[in-house]
Amino acid sequence: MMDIAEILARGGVALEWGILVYFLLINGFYALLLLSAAMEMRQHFRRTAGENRWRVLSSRAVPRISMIAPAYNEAATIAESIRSLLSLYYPNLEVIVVNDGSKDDTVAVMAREFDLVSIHPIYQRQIPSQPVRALYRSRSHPNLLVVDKVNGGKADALNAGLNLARGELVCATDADTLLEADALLRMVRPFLLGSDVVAAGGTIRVANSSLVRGGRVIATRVPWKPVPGVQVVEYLRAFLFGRLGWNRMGGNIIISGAFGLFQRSAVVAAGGYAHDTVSEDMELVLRLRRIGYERHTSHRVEFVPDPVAWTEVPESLRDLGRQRDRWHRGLADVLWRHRRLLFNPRYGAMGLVVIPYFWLVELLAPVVEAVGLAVLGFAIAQGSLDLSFAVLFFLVAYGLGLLLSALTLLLEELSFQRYRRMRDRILLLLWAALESVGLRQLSVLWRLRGIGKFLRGRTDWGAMDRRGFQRSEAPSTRG
Amino acid sequence: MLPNGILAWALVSVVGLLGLFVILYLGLGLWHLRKESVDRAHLLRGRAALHVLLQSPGGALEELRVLESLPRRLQLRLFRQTMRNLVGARNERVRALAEHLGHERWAEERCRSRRWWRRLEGARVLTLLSTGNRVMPSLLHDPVPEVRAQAVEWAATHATPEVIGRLLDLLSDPREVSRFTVQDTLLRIGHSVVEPLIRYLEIHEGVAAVPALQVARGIEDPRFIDPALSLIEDPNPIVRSHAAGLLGTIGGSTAEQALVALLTDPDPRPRAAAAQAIGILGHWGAGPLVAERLRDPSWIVRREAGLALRALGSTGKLLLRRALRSEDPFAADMARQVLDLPETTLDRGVVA
Repeated sequence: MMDIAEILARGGVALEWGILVYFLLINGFYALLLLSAAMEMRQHFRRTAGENRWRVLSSRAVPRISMIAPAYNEAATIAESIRSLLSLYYPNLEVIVVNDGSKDDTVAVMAREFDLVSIHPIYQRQIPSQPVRALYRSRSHPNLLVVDKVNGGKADALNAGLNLARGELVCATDADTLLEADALLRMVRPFLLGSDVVAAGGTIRVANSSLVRGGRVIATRVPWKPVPGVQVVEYLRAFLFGRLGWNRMGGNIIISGAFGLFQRSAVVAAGGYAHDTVSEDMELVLRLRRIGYERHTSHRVEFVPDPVAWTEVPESLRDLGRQRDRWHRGLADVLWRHRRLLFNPRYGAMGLVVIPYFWLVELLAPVVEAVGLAVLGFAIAQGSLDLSFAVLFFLVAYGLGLLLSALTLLLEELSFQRYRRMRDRILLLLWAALESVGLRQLSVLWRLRGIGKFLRGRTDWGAMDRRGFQRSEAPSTRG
Repeated sequence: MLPNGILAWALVSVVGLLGLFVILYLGLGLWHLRKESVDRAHLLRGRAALHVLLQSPGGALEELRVLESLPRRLQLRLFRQTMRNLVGARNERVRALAEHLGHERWAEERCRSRRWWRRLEGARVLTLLSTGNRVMPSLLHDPVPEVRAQAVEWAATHATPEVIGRLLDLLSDPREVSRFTVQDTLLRIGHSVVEPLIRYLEIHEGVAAVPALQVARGIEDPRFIDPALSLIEDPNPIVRSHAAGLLGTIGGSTAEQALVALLTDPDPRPRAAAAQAIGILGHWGAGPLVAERLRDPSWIVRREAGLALRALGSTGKLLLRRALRSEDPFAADMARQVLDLPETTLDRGVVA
């Protein structure tokens, strides 16, 4: 008979082996994703080199795009945001701004700046949403429609916009996201070349510290502050190798809420955005793909690697913690809602590869990492584990994380080279190092908190203090 | 557990690779900075030389040498930037310069490559230069969709009967990847495609006819009347809807009669399309029949019927006012909504 100490020791060893195998599996999968991303990037550049995107501007065959931008208490920035949307290069564009029951002067500012007139269009409420109080059309920009509705959250605002959208494609964006002028020309490409595409997402970059003029990023800068700085590296890694890599390995299930293009008929048929989740963007994409598999209809989701949108990220650890906690809660919620996809061969590569990856790697990684740390600490305290082994293991683990970040930076340098100053490149290396040994550990805590909140059923968003973009000159609020 | 030796080796490898990637990253960064600055200077000189060459087509040997001294990728970038902003004789001059610099021959060779991305590169250069009659038609049959789509784009300025025939074949391409480019190109070619498109519509039915009907609708030519009248009886309701849309761009008593008949189609989509087309044509004689559609069980048909009546002018408005007293609450509601729409031209444009 084994005594308790021996059982504990054997259990500890088994757990350590389990963690080691998990660690090797994760890093092996990361390497595979990186390889896949590099191949996709090469393919993308081959496809688009020397392409005449401007031809679309003079085409009568392009689909209409309805851009839906929910706005809540954005009186200070709404005029500039709308101008930025209206000046996007696209020949057949409709902009729908949904005021989601703002308590400030958002509607009054829009009415003043865009000469709004009340209208009564005949439309069908195909997707339920909170009541619409009024609808306005701009006299100065006839392709601008403003929806004033009772507050119901971002998903509800997007649904209200969907009911009024007339485009074949709808683009969901945040009113505070900065888009590249030719973002739509790039994003519409998958829809023009493939009739089975239901959604497309693009790369989102960090705008903090970059110079902004007229709602456009005119010079990219890497922030000096560590919190937004490390997020630049994180975003690069998430988009350049994460989502791009998935394009080849079973498809994407995430399109950022900051900028995504969808086939309207598919979204309406799927019932629009879900109200009761904090991750409505991911939930919609997963539902679209799931429905596609179940009804044998189109369900391809494409990722466009070109940087198309810029967003402001949290500048304080408190805000960042809230954001990550919410993201992880959203991930847990979405994966739980669609749990029957897990290892289900009916859903092809999505059920057998993508969803298991998101469960085992994205969702449970903080749990495994925390358990691993606890077991290692316990084993060292018990004297059953060699301290030098533990230190070496840590160094290898974090070295691999750093290697991944360095490879992502290399991929960026080989592809888009958006950070042009040498100073920015060096800063990126510095933030990559800090991300692996500082933010990652904090992130484990935040994500564990997110899982805890999900288990307790919390669905609040949490607030974020926005500092605004660094402008190259005072923005004009009029004409 | 793993012996420390293995972990130590793993650590050394990771550190070594990390060092290598950091050096590569920074090295590439420096190289890009240098290349960017050299390219900028080259392009500046090239642009100035091109400007002089466009001003004095006969001489300027010095400037020609400047252009020749630029790397091919910069020459092409310069031409790409310039040609899209030029028309007529100046564009021809730039094209002649490109030919003189050997780009046409180079691109044609690329088009014959076994590698698809080289063929694509060559096809893009030949499209830019609007030349390549020797190789581009064969790329319309290329197995790679991107190359095929590029050849289709080129075809907009080289619309021979054979090329148009191939473009129409591509309209029903089961892989569909280049359908947008094909439709776009056919619309750009315009009236030269009417006869071939009519022949295409005569022998195609069902969903294969839909993209051709969309193109025909964009061209708006009365010669499409016969195929449109034939396809309005297609078993597929989507085809009937598109055929109705096409009739709405043609007009005439035959088209109007066919549209009136379609108002009682068993599927709501053709009914809605017919009502819309009647409104576009302003066929007020069909007003009472359109007004009956205000009681249609389908919302989209009621909406199109209401808007069509509005477009018919005073006759339609009279019918809408009568519908306000209709026993059918849905008809009365739609009539009210349509009558409530604003009157100005600007506002009228925003409701449809």
